[in-house]
Amino acid sequence: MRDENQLHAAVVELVARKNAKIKYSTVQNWYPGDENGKGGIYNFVTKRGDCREDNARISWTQVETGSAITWKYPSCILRGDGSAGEFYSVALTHNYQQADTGTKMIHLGKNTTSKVISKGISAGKSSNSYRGLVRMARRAENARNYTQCDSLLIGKTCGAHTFPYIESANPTARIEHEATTSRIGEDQLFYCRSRGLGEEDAVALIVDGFCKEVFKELPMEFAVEAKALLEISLEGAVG
Amino acid sequence: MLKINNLHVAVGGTEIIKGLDLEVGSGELHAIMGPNGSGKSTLGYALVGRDGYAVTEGSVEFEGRDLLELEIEQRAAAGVFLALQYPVEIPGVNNAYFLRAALNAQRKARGEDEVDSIDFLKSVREQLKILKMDESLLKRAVNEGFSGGEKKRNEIVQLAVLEPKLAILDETDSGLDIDALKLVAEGVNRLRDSQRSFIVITHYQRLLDYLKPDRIHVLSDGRIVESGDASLAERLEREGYAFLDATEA
Repeated sequence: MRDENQLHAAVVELVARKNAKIKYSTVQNWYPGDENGKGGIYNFVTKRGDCREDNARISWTQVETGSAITWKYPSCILRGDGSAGEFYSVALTHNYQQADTGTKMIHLGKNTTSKVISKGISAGKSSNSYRGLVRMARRAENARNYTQCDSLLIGKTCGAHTFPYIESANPTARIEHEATTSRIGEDQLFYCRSRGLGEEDAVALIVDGFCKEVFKELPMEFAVEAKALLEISLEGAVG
Repeated sequence: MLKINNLHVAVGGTEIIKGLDLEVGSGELHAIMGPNGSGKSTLGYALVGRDGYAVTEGSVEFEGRDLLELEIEQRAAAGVFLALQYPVEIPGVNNAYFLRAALNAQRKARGEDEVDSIDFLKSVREQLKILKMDESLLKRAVNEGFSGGEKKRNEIVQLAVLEPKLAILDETDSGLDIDALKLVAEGVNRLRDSQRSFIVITHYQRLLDYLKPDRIHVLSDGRIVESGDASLAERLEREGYAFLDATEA
């Protein structure tokens, strides 16, 4: 049927001026191809945000469940003093999907801050990578970054990778990076099932909890949608 | 209610339970005591069907049904509950949400309607009050950041809300201070009725002082080696498990 690949190449550009705040949320379920990795959308996206003036804020939130291959790195260029960038991401891959996604936080102004929360869930034979840049320019006095990358593995044939690129040219800048990788716990699954939840419901519940920090950043309708999408995407991921 | 016949259970290829017989009637509370490594927790896990606890021989009949044929969640819906010795944390999953999802999954499996949200919250709040737990626990993630005592009491809250027919308590008293122990014992006593049975696994007589079990069994090396009334627990407290070797010799 649809055994060829299609391309989705979107470009999004955000500009936030003085004291302005932009929140950009995406939930994506492009056709991921069949269970043998045939077909599916190539989702190659350019997204960038410019905090052009003082105290501007840009917040990206994304939930990626679809497409055969995703390459996507929404950025924040923190030019204005005191400007702030945020990136919240959930990326779920199953079967033969590949996701390579993350953010670029480029700190140019003084007292700029950025926060990155990335949750990757891999199942089947998929590969899920976080790739992110945090750059502190020479004049970025007292710039701060906090990055947290958590990966959850379901099954034995998937992969999770984290590639943080960190560059600092200012001695007052502070950068924190935390990363965890865990397998979905047998003890958690057992606990849920022993209370009456079926195995798939238990996995969905645990994954939903794992993504909570990101989902709470989404508008309510999106959050409901995102949760349902994860459940659908995880069907057949266990057992 | 529960009939265990010549049960053998292996974990990782090693036989832990080696021919265990036990019968628990409706409304009865049985205590299982025994030295470390005698197979007490294994018995609990085998009864609820945890993966890795392979029943190699014997049968378990629960209300006339073959319990061993059922999946873990089917056993839960049938009314078997295990309060864990080490309750598991599920980050990001709201405690009240978890409990309601579990209750509704069980009700659905039994062909019953879902619970009304307001009735549900009312009943959970009531249980929290009985166990002197703060209501904020409902909004926190399942067992995450709970103290040891809070985790154990949370198991009793789940027990009270899920209303199983057979509740197995795996060392629910260990790690509890005397006040928390009393609360747990009161919580359990409140749930006792002619239709609900308990198997209480414990090391200490103290909990049994409050619970007044109908029968006490001593498990040693995968078998029940001694059964008796409450006086057996007193004897164990006095003499330890040393007398087991004496009787076997």
